[in-house]
Amino acid sequence: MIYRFVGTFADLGDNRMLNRFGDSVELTDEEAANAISQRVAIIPDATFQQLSFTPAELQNYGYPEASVPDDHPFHAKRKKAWLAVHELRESLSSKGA
Amino acid sequence: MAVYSGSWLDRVLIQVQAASAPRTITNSSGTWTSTGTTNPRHMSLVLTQNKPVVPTPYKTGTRSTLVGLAGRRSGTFSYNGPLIPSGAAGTVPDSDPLFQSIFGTTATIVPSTSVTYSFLDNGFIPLAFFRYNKSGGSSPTNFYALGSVIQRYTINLGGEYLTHTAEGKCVAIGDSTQFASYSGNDAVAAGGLTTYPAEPGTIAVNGTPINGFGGTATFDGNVQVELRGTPTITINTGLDMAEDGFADGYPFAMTGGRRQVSGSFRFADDDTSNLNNIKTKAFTKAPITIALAVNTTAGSIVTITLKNVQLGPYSLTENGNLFDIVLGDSLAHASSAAAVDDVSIAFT
Repeated sequence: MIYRFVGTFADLGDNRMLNRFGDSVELTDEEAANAISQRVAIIPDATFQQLSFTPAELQNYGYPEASVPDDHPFHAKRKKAWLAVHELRESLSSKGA
Repeated sequence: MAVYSGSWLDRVLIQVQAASAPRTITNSSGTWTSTGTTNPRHMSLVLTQNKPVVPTPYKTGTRSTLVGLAGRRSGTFSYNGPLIPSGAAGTVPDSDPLFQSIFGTTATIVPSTSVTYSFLDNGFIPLAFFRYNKSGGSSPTNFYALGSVIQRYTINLGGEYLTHTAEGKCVAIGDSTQFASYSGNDAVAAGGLTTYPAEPGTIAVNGTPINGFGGTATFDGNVQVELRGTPTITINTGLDMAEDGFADGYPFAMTGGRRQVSGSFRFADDDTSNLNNIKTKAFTKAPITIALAVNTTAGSIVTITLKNVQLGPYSLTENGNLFDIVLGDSLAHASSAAAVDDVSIAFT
């Protein structure tokens, strides 16, 4: 399954590094559960697509040092992405992952 | 042929142990369970075993010494590493086990917004450090620190990287070379394990480092632009161990004494009312709130809040082409008798 990264950096091992917001990575269910339990900020691609990040937003604001204007809609979308991370983590935790 | 241990080929992991159980590394039937282990990244980890030889106390008629006994035993540790936020607001950092141990409890999480550590005075969470030698060879020696209690924690601001140090004592320092001998009076050093902790596979690493500068320093409600140099925040946790048990020579319980939270600050001297307020408060000892927010990128902001700070005495000190106002140790206090808010650390 394809997941999208919504943090600043994560090293998943096996030469899989995520270093831009929006980076995609294919993970098995077990790999995803391990990554999420180890605090990696990933969400399913379908969930990410619903947040409607534009290519320009990912290009301009997808790296850690990016300065996002205060009133830019990217802030709200990113917050929703982080909320989705939390909800996914809680869901897996309740299942005993 | 000998394989020497390279200092860069050093992997350090940390894991909280069960509350108030400093002698037990998390395990299933004696095999280490690495769930919850994190890789906080580190510049250095010093683990020192403390197993002194106690000289014979009695007289023999000569002035020569005789072989003594191994006395009460324990260990010490000193960790120095980067303080790296997770990069996603509402997600705990990889250093989370350190903070759990310092504050005695897990963080308060507001999803997508913040992770905040505040004290729980009756919470005692020991830590285990694991060090793996990655230099290769047939039998490198790996180490662990069992039942680690952070006694002194310092955040170092103002540098190129935001860093922190954690120092304290532990129940024991174990190593893979000696592990098989941990029996009898030294069985405690095995931490409840029957096999040496096997190095886990990948432990994800999260977040990018941040500068120790670049943010907002607020003193008594005023943004203090004159703050300069390398401010430090130090928590002397008051945590300790009971080390005089009868059953064996190792520490057997965590204890909690009074803690002390302090900050060290210097300002470029000027004639502004904000800085004059600092000077006045340093003289009158009227308490103020200090908030140091490091970084401005959401998901990677660290804010240290000190309550009821009584500023230390100040001196005018020459610093290059300017004079600085240098404050002596400024102590934070709880805001009321029932509060434990002397300091909190938030990631947003």
